Amino acid sequence: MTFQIIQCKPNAVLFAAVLALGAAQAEAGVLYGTDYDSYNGRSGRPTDSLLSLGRDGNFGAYCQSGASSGRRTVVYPFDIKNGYEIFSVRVWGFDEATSNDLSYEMVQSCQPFLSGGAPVRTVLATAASSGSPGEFSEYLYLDQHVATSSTCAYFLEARFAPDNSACAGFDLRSVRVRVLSNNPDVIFRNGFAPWGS
Amino acid sequence: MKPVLVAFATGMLLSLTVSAEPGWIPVNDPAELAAMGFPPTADNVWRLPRDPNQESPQDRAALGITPTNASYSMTGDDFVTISSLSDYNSANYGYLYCPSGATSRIASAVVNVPTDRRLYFLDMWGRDASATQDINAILYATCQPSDGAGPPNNFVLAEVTSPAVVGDGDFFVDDIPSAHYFDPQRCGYSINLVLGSGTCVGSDLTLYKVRVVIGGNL
Repeated sequence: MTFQIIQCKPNAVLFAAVLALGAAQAEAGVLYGTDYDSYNGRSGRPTDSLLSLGRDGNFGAYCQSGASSGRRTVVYPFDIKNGYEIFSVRVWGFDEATSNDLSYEMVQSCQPFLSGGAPVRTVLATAASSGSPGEFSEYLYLDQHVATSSTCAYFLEARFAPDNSACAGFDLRSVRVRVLSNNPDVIFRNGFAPWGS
Repeated sequence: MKPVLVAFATGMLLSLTVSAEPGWIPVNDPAELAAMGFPPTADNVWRLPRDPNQESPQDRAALGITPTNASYSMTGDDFVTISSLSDYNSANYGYLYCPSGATSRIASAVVNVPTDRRLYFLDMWGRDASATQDINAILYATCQPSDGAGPPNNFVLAEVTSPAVVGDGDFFVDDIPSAHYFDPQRCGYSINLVLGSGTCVGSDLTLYKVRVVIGGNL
């Protein structure tokens, strides 16, 4: 049967093969210069020494502080090249806490290029878990925000509880975060590196 | 004829997807899981099967250092302990060891890799002067659905363990895993470091550096 199809419609078969290969490559983020950067949850940095982090079996982080003082926020710094477009941030986590949710803010913090000045903080996108769904995933859409890394820093903040409030412990975990950016240079973006080598 | 063509194209797509997934081997021995730092009851840990035709470590020298390979190096300062309450020491050189008598001996570091590049080597430098314990490092892929919630699965891609004590204990070990291509859209990549199997023995088990070598320029 397959042989007959190839005999009858060789161009159609070739077209289908190209489509299939194209779809696979687009899925892998190759065709359009996109760049996925994944960070496990435990790699986040506590913003307060009063926040102690534990790690689950999937490299996810949870707040193990019992005392109800200090900040409850973890920071994931992103290394995004100047001029790249930031498409989105996707987060994965676990929320079985009835008292707390895990909330996220994607932040841009900018200062003058060659002079002193207080950082100007801009929240580019937000998301949060809701209820106690167990495994969850949320999406922060940044609308192709162009990174100006010469003057700005980019990071994601994950908040386990309001400041000075109790954590939910193992019931609330930040498992992974992923930033999707794009190199707008369509010709020289990969330095002619051998693909797939 | 058209429905047949559609089915054929769909079949091709499915076969591409399926062929990209090798036959992972589940890790379900409680002792092995515990030694890797997972709960003994974990059911989401898998190993990349060994390719019987892969190069042996002895073949690596002939490969040399080629300009088309990239390296990610992580020293002790790049690792975070399993709990931020755990004791550790960098010995003022960016090393990592857990102080004698401490009980927390697991740490991890993120490996940021480009899409579709091949994993070639996992290397580790350190000092093992302990007659009874070893340092172990595993490169994991922790994978979930690319655009939604789902249970994470942990895949062992490469593993190195310090050798028996030689001289002052300084060592280098490497692993040449089966062919594997990175997919940071679905997976995060981490090094899990285990400093011994019992109570910490201090600087007798010290990590100097871990290096992941991938194919292609950055």
